[in-house]
Amino acid sequence: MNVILLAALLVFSGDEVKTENLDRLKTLIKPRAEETKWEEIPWRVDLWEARRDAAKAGKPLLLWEMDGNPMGCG
Amino acid sequence: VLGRALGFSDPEVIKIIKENFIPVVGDDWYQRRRKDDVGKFFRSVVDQTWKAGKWGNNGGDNRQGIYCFTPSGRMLTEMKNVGNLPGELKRLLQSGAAAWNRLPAEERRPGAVTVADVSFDPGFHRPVPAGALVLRQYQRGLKRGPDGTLAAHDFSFKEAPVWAQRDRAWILADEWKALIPATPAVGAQVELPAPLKRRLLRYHFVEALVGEPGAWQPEQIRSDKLALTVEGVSDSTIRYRLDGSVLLATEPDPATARCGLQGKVTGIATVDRAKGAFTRFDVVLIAECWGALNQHNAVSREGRNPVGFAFELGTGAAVDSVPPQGARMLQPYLQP
Repeated sequence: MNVILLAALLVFSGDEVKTENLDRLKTLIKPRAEETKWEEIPWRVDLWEARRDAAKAGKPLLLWEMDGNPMGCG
Repeated sequence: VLGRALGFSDPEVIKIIKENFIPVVGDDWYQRRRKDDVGKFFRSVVDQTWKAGKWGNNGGDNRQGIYCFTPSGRMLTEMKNVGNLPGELKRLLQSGAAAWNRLPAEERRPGAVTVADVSFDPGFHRPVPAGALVLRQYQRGLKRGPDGTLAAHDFSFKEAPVWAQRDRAWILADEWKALIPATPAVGAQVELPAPLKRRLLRYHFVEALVGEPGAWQPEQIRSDKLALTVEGVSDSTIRYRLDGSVLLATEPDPATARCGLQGKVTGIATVDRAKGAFTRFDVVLIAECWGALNQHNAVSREGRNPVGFAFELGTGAAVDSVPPQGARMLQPYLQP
């Protein structure tokens, strides 16, 4: 049943680009649950702040470095 | 985002990171170029790996990868991008954690390292401009069924699943304030400030399902009909509707243009009048896209294909401080 409902939410026809469809279109486009699991990790976005947090916590740093921020277009 | 985040989606990997590390993401384009203490620290870490040296005047080769190191900058372990390989990633993390635990207790204790305040290299540091609105941007490959219905298109690129791509868009303080009329009237048209419109068109209405988005040249904006209309006014709120269509193409004739984007826009925005602030700024663009703007912005799918773009207000979370990709070239982005 849930699958059917989800499919109905994700399918449009014809002239679908109008305000009454806005929320459903956003749902179609935005990351799905399986695409956001990696965001459960408490990523910092500033190396210096992360270094400060690591020093305070007594933990090492893990840096994920991409050409294009992984939290952005990376 | 390609499936290279797959490894970081693995429950065991997430658990190891949460328990053992302070995780941070970085855009290598800035990091390897910056001349401040952050850049010096980064280079001192990378110089302990096979990527050492060759920094050149402009950052040299890219240093993409996954690095584990101490707050003092001692390398524990590093690997190329294995973000899409949970097993490899897990081994890297376990190796890094083990190397950390082999260090003397005095070196590992909280507060063992003092991290001073530093000033940032303004050439390669991109804080959100004062008072600017941050929009979160997403884009996804779509497909149409035989009856024209639109649905998500799940496909792979170089064997990695292509997920919804992300970016951020800035609306400067003077731009969003110009959208709030002193005496709003239902039906009134509100003109979008020209820099805001050009910024959205040139830097954000760009198909970049894989790779890094390019930017349209001003003359490649072939048509832009965007109308922001006051749809409702009460004592507490102003509600707007955005409608329009856009055509962006590398050559004047979209039928033969090497690269293009043609689509329709819709949106809803609301203002809290007491606060003088936007509380909703939702925009969707559904466009047919083809070609690629530059070598970093690969052709994700052959032919002309629908792509959906969605924008919404950020929440002020840390992720909203990640700058727009287009802001690498700051002044052209702010004044396109």
